[in-house]
Amino acid sequence: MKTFLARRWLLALVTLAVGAGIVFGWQLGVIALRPMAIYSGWLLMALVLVLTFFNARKKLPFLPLLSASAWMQAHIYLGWLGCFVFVLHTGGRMPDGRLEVVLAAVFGVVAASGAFGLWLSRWLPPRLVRSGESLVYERIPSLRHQLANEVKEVVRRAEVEAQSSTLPDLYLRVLHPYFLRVPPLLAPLTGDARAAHHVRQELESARRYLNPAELNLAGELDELVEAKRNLDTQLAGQRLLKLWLFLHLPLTYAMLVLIAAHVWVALQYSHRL
Amino acid sequence: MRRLLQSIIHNRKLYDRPQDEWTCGRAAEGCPCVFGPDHKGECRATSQCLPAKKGDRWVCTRPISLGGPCAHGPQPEGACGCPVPPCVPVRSLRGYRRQVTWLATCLAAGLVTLALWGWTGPDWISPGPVTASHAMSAQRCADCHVQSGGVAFTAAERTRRTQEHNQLCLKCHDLGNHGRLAHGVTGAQLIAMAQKMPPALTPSPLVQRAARPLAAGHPTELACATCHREHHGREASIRHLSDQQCQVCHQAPFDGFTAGHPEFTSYPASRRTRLQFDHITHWQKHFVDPRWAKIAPTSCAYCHEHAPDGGKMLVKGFEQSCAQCHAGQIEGEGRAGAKGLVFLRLPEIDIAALEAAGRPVGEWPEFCEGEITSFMAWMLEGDATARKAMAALGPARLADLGDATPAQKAAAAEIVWSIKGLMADLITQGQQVMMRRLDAYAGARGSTRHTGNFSADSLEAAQRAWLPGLLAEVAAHRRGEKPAPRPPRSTNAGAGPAAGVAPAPAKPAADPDDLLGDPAPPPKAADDDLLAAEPPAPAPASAATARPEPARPLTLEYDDAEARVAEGGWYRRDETYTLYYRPTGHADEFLTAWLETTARDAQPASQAIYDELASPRAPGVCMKCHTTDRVGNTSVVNWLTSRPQPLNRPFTTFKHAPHFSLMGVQGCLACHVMDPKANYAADFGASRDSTVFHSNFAPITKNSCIACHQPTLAGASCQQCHNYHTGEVRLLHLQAAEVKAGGAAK
Repeated sequence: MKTFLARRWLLALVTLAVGAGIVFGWQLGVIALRPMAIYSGWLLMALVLVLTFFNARKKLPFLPLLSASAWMQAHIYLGWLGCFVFVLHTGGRMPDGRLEVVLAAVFGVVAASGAFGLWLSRWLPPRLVRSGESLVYERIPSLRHQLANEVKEVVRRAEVEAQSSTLPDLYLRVLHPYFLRVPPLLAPLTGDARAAHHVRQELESARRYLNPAELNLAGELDELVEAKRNLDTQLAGQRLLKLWLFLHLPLTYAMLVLIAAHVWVALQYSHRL
Repeated sequence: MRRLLQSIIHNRKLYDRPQDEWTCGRAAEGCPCVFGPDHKGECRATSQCLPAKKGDRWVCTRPISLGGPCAHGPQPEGACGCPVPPCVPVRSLRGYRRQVTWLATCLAAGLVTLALWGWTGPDWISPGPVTASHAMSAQRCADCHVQSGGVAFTAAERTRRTQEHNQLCLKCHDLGNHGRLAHGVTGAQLIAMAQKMPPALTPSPLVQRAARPLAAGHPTELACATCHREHHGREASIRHLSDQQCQVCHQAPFDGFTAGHPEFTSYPASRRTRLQFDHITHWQKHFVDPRWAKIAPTSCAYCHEHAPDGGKMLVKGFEQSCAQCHAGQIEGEGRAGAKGLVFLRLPEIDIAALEAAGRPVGEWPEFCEGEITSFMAWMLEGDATARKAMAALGPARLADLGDATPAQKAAAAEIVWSIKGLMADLITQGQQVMMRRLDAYAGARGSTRHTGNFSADSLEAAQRAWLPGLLAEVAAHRRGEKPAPRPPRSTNAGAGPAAGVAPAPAKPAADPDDLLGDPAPPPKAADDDLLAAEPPAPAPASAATARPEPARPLTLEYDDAEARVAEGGWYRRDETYTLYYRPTGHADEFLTAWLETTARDAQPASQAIYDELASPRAPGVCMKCHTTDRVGNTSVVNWLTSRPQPLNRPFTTFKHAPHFSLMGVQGCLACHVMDPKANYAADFGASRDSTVFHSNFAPITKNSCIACHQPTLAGASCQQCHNYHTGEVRLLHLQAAEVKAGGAAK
């Protein structure tokens, strides 16, 4: 079985070879005064359709059409090839026509979001794994609710068993807002350790005022803070892994509409089809 | 060990449905119902489970993940004992994404709808601004596009579409007769040119060889858009092609001008010069002759200058370049014979033979000499009777009809009457006789140039002297009357015209008021003779004997008739019964008009005029320098040297002016090297084939250009020196409005 690195190299080389072949063919076509913009347009449209079909493939798991992993690999490298063909198709410059500008901009955003998503899918998961327990994204709200309840329970015990208001006060002032908190959208990219660090500092500062019973409870709170930190990390990371698709997928379908219009116009008005 | 938040025990896990568009409103509290919302986002939960009936009892089916079976169990009728109040379902992340997707798709569809069918459609679907030349069509797609629709799958369909689009281009652009064809020439011409092409100096580049099979279609059906790509911006060049693109159709492509371009073979000469001017003899013989050295040119610029566009080098006009040495020759300076052109002459006729044959021709001078002139013959050709008579005359000579057959004599008599008739017509109708004859001649239109301002009065004056009774005789002949018999021949010297004509010193004026001093009888003609003609001879015997000549008082002397028209015009010689035309000088309109007209006409009568005018001894010596080219089925006289022809685009272009600063001390000779061995003059003379020639100059070599024309220096692209569209290329058709009655333009 090929290693990930070997596979990456192999597919990258294949993509480069195909790209080089396309460039050579393009160059020959240009010299031969063939309508290369039209040919490259057809190629680009075919690539976009294949790339789009990856999404459909995920919705049709019963079809025996290779594995999702193979589709993903194809999606990645054909995506790069599509960007390359796009540059050839546009001549490496921003188009002048309004419809074409919109189409090019949409293609650019789709391609950029895809590249960003690819990078995220390579960069974030190891960090999420290192952060702690991997959580199912859809369960995170209930887990946060569960953590908040557990904190509330520990603080209640401190109030009842230790007859002290130190931890309840801390809860009201620091712990309650923290456990209800939702990390910002770009937290994985901008860093989000400050909130947990602040809570820990507050908890550490409060330890000097705690009796032994409360200290045990503070230890539990410390674990819950850590669990909340991991939960925030998992939430922010997984959310970001899903949010880039809010650009990539909707704009892909918008792009298909624009491509259809572009092709129709080209077919209608071209001198050389 | 850190406690795990999620249970890993299978039956304690919640059943997640991330693909659903809606999620339970209580999921965030950790207690979602087992049913979940429907696809419209409406809560379907009424209880925590759907009790199952086992035997005659209902049992709770609440999942372990929600706490397992409840303690009190279902209701007796089977309803769940733990009713659940409805929640407010929450849209899932996927649901939001689907919404955004639909929104983006609808926005795109709306945009496309507006773009294709909205009021600003052309602005949206246009792939970019067109060049400034086509800017007025930016909003009118149909100016340049045929909305064909779809993909043309067959070659015939593609060809049809190409032709339709090309037609739209050619609606405005005039590329000549073969504008749609490669290089604007026919396939046969293209093949002929390819065969003449010298081979490339290097093997064809690999890329070129690989690209050639892909070349765009058949070269006879190229779409204009193959090379001219519009919609790339206002300032974009739609003419530029790379060198490789230029050569993709060529049989022997090469890398570039510096590598592989064939050596020039005969550039720049592609034909013989329009003027026969031998640079070698002029520079090496005439200009060094002490007689001419002082006025001889010292540099090429003496005779040559560049065209206003800096392209072609032109020859300066005759006055600047040639007149100092050659003006006198044209005007007849030092000429042995007459300086004028023989236009009309009374030919020598064997009158006696005609009379003996019973073919009287009436009055005719006895001492005529010579034959019918070429101009007379040409005009008589327009007369059916004369033409028939001349054919019937055959080889017999008018001057000697002793051995002629009766039929030939009859023809000769007819010819004499035709000559008389022609002369009478020229007198009575003037220039119209020439114009009618010219109009009858295919391809020519008479003009004042052809008449040379011919004056009927001048001929009438001649007629009074030569054939006083001409008009009456011709009138009688045309009425069918026979002429009166000739009076007996007088031995008086006055019977011959030479006896009474020039020089006529001290001729008395017939009338003291007659400033022209025409002493010719009859007296009434003196007032009409306004011409500066030779004083007419005394009337021939018949006239002379009819009226006694009055005594003439001494008066002023006449200069020679030829000298009196030194600036050109008509004059006559009574001693030879000849009417001459003396050229006005260089570019005489009469001579040029007749040379042009007769060069085109292959008929013998026309060619006789041409041969006479083209003779090196002809007055004006036009064809000593000027040449005649055969062009298709006709011939054209070259009056001008090569001139810029804006409508005629050659394959190779060159602008002289930008190169002037590069010539150094050698000047023009840096590139134009004289070839003393070339037999320049051999290809002129009677030849009308301009393609057979020997240039005075050796072909320019590629090395002359290659010093500068390299890719990194002055450039070496094909389009710097070569045109694709060649031939008669007008940039645009004149789109003239059709003016209707009332002045409205349509």
